[in-house]
Amino acid sequence: MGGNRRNIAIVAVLSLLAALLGFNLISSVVVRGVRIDLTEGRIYSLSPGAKALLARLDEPVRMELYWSEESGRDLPQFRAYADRVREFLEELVGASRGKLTLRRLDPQPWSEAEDAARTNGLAQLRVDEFGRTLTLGLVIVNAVDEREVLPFLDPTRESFLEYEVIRSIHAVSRSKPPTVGLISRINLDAQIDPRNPRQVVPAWHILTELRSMYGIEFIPPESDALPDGIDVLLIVHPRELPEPLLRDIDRWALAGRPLMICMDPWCDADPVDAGGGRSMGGMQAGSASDLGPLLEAWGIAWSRQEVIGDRGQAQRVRTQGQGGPAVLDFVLWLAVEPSRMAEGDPITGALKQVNLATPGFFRPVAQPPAGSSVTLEPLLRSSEDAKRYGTDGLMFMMDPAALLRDFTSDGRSEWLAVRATGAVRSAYADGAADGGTPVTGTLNAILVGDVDFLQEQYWAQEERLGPISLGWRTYADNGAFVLNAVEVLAGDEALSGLRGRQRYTRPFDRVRDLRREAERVYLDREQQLQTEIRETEQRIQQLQRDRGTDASFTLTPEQMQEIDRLQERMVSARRELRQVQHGLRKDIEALGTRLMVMNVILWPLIVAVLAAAWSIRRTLRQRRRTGGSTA
Amino acid sequence: MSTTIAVFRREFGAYFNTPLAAVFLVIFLFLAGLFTFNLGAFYDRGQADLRPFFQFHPWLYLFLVPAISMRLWAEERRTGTIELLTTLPLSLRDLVLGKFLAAWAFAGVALALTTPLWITVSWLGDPDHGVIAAAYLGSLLMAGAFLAIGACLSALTKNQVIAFVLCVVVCFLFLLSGFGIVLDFFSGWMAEPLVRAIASLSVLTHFESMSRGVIDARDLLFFASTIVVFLVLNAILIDWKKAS
Repeated sequence: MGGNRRNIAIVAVLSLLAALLGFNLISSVVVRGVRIDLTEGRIYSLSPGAKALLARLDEPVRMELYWSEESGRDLPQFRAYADRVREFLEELVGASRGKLTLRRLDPQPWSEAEDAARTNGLAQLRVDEFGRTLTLGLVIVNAVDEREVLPFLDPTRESFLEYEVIRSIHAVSRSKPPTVGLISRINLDAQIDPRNPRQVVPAWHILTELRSMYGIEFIPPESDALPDGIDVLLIVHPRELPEPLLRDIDRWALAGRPLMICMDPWCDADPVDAGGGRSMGGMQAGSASDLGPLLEAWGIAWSRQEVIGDRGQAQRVRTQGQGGPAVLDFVLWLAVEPSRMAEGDPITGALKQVNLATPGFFRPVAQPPAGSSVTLEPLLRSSEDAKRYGTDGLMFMMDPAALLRDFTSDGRSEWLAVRATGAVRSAYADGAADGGTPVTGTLNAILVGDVDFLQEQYWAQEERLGPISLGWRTYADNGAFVLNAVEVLAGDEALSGLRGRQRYTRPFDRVRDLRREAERVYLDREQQLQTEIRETEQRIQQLQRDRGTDASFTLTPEQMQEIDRLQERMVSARRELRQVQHGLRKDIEALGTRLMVMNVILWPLIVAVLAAAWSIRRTLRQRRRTGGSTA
Repeated sequence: MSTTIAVFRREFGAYFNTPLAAVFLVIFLFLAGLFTFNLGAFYDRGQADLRPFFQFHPWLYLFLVPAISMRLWAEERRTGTIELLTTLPLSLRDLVLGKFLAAWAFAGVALALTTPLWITVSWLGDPDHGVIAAAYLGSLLMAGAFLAIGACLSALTKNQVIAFVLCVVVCFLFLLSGFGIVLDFFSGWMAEPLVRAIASLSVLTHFESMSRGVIDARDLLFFASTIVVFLVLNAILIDWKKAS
């Protein structure tokens, strides 16, 4: 009888475990898309912009997802991500009204799928010492076999998945992409390395990004006129453009045609020898650019001799200071925060951080020219804790510590990038002898007071696996800013809401404030002490020199005392300097220690005391109760 | 239902009758804090999120949850009070559910007592509270699943130490069932779909999915089904032991 019961129990146990297995297996297939996304930017949910774009697809688009089932079996993180990618793609298919299809391929060794993966340039990650490889990539193909390839879908970049996939779908589904005319003093394209002719310098990443969305037509800066067939004009670092081209740009702008200009009072990407072309010991300065007479005529003031330093939004840099390597705020490199971007604007609305380097600023001219009523809307602003620096001699001031020490705020928030619209007057209205230039027109332009921010070193880093690029990891939204701006100008705003939904960092604001304060105090004190040390040294030298001129002269006891005193002061000043340097992080570390002690030791102790008190009270009460009952 | 509540109240109160509860809470809070600040470098990495805190939860629970669950039934069996319990006018369901809920509530108290960390991170910066809330929910469910497993295994033996060790081993298997270390054991002789099914039982994967800040119905169903199945198993085992 007992044995029978045991058998029943065993059968019940086994069948329940099987039921658990079966239930989860079925639910993982049947129940999908039921979820609540609690993240701040809803980064794991299909955005309205993506849905709208998918609903508008009019040509069939096929997605091919390559995933090595076998190799991924022992890698649960990858497998879970591959599942989520597949479900996300299926969700896209569902939202596309039948235009989008999904094919799943498993590139097993020696299979056709593996050949296809290789032909498409998908990344193959080695997962063990036996040469097994793992592929997780996506190919998006339109009806005429044009394709976009995402060589590797990185689990750590999940929050960018939607944007990358939607962008690729958008790219293959457009009939004809708009053409961007590009005038640039800097060669952004791939080129032979002038120092090593066997090396190729790759194109700037921003150009690659633009190319993936638009046709690019290069317009040499020496041209006399703009070519036909351009939809958006992008001007990068317009240094010394010839007048005929400037006239044509003026004409283009007055016709209200879309225009984006990146100009810079100090462009590191296009260095010139300091001192007006002659080399000063190899010292190089950034070059400045402007649009000749155009901006002023349009009612926009631009100074090619001033850059903005911003203590409130400074980037952190590593420096070699007096007391060894240190990390300091560099006021000339800005990390513009969302609170200093145009809110609700399709260009900046979703961005989280734009990094700028030695930017200039725009403002309306004090006396707008007759017939001009231009409106400037700031897209990127400095904080109030900002200061204008003249560019002459800037190269001697590139020391972050010195800049920070001598920083005095102008107390003004400067406009670092603006959208300029409204009626403007032509710069060549008076001499409109060619007859083609109307006197007034309507501007539709975006102006950015920086060129360096286009360089990837300020916002993105490529991740490679041998010769295959795994994609770019961005740490600021510079690329998104440019793409959004061009997109808005081209009247093609489908993607701008998708970019930059993810915040790159969530820093400890308290720690940042503490650090800024500590650095300010430290730099002041360091300066004082160094001056003191220098003066004391000079004073001692002076006293010793005085004696040296006269052999018979001996130091009076007062003088000897003075030297002793000075030496003592110097030693103590040196000691204090060392202490100040060590103390720079003291407050921050002290806060960390305090928080740790509170959370790790104090709080458990409080809980222990409370629990003990509660249990004593309970025991007493029980004792009283039992005492009462026996009495 | 009311009898379940009665069992729950008795069991939950019992935790605080001995210093064991206080010791457990203090150890849990101390270890959670220590792991967060030291191993997780919470302060030094300077990011306002609680990832360094939650990433250690599976491993903390692996040893602390069996410490709660080991005595649930083993103690009753050792002292013989189980005979008494089963003669009371209580259904087996009430007993199993009440005991489990009490243990789960106790684990919930322990988890709730970590909110100073949430306050700390909110004071330091601007964290994504949705992500933290989802991770807390995931952590609570994970504790529930481990507790259900532990309660079930505790019914197998009179010896608390054996119950503890069994629970650690089984929870470890559940934690890592998606990883090679567990799968290799099955993949030699089991059909591929079955191996994949076992892989889908990985507590770690479901917990990590939730701690991204997304509450997926399948993760909820996974934890709920695990809890239910092990509680039913628990009841079957008690019933069986009682009969034998």
